[in-house]
Amino acid sequence: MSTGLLNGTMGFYLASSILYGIHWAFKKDFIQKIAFSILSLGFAIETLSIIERWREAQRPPFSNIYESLVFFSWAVVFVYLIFKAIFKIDFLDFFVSISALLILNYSSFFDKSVEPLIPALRSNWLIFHVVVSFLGYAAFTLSFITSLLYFFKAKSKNPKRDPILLSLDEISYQSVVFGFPFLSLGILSGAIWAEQAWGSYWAWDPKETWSLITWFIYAAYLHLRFVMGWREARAAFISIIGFLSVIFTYLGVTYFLPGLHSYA
Amino acid sequence: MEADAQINLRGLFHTEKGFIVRIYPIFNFLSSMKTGIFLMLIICISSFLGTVIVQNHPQGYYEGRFGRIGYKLISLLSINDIYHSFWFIFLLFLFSQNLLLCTALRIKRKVIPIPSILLHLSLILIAAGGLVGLMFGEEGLVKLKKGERANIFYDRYNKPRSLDFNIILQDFTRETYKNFKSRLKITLLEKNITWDFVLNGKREFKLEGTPYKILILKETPDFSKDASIPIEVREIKALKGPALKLAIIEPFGKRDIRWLFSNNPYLDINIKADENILTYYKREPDIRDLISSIRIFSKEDSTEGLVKVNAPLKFMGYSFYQYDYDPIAYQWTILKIVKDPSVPFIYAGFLLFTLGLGFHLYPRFYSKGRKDVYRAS
Repeated sequence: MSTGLLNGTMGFYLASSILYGIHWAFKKDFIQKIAFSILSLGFAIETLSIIERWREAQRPPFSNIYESLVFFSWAVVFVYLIFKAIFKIDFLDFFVSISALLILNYSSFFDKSVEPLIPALRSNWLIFHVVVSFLGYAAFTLSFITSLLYFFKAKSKNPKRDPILLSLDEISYQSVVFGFPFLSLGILSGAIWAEQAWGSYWAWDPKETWSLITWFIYAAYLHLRFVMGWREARAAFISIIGFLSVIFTYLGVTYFLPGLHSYA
Repeated sequence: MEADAQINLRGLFHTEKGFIVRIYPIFNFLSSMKTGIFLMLIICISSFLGTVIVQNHPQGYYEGRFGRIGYKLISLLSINDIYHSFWFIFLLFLFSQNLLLCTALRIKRKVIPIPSILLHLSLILIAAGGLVGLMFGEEGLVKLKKGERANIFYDRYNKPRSLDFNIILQDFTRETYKNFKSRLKITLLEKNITWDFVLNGKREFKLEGTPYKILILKETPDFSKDASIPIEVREIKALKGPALKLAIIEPFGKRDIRWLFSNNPYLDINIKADENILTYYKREPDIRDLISSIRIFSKEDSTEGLVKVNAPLKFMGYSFYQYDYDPIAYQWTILKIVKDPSVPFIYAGFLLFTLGLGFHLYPRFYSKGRKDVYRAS
């Protein structure tokens, strides 16, 4: 049943993306409102599908690459909805919708079978560790999208004090401010869990090492911004590098660098 | 900003002459944020190197991949054990000193809010904890058969270390789920690569990077009851239980057909055997938990209990973790033994870090950022 719900979610995200595209072409506000309603509906169904998967598997649905990708796409929309509520922005709707769709589509290439938890994952830390890590990843995805948009917009506009570019820069920065504590909590909770499971809070496993590299990149982003005033293009560049590191930490390590985290 | 730091550094140490003045350049270098960012970059690059070059493998592995000169270079720079190398630990030490000086200067200049101080001090505490663990911690493995006793363990360099107590493995068991799974491992001996497959109804597997292919021909729940097998073969006791018939399709279409047996996972009956390929087949329930029941006793004290995955046992400052086990007959276990005096420092650092981070970043998110975005829009 959870798979059926996810297919429905993909349909809604696709419809929402198409409608946002039409809104771009014709600039009709009501189309944008319909598109956002469909995006929200897709998000609600995706939430249901995650709950249903949890019920079917009788464990948190975070134990393999398929389940984590589904949760990642959910987290991207969830974090964006928080941003939308706080900052009253709507220019990212299309990009978030298409990102969530692409992630879900990518998840469909992986084994969907429900497997029981391996002994190492049977811990109370699983939920906290995965949820905070993916909230961080989702926030960095928003920062990446806005940073890319910054460079696209900066080509056609005079970057000096342009309000759209400033807004993109600010959202990118706020996404990092939002995501950095979650990434940090993900690393700390992982360290505490590792100490309980393997007797070592830090084993320089590839996943741990790459999450530290990612953490350093975003720590440098924040310091360069706070202390040395790096903003706009330079900040956007570091944000893009940071996101590439996030993707390598999440997917690259799983495929290319076997270690303790080889299950996801 | 550098000149500003220098002035404050003079104020910090209340001196104009002598030793402190002579080492100003070092202090200036270490207390600069640019140095901090530079050190982060170097640590990132070194860490990256440690993930792409496999760590702690035997000499032959590196010589095979990088040649003799390559191995000598790797060995000289400790790239085969980066995270424990002197220069990497020195980089971490420099970074913690940079954090300490940056924080101290900013406290002196009163330009740093309390959450930020907490944040930086927590990182210093975590780094100090790491150093304490490295200097005074003990860590190693002990392999025990059922009923066996040990009072030594082997550290990460495989050197024996004695313990002030004895450990006895009373029992080793596993908890399982209800569902069964068939696992197939194929090892290509000439390349020393093993592929691990879960069958799950799939009929064909490719050995990635080679021209070999595996076809699953048949899986039977009990070989001795399979009517298609000659009775004299079926009656062999060692072949009872789940069995798998597969074909290994080799280069140029050559076929190696084998029967594999779950109760003797490395045993195979084959026609035209390819000795370059080792097979392993096991049909068993998924493992839920691994449990070593141990008794520990010294002259003064004793205890007994269960060591499970995610649930270590503690005794005399040591922790015992379920590390590995006998996957075929479940007759032995490997426990990891750890004594780490740094854990309280690390946890205190984690707590301070979380508080500092929350108080430092979230006010920026909710108030300043919100206003700025509105202004920008």
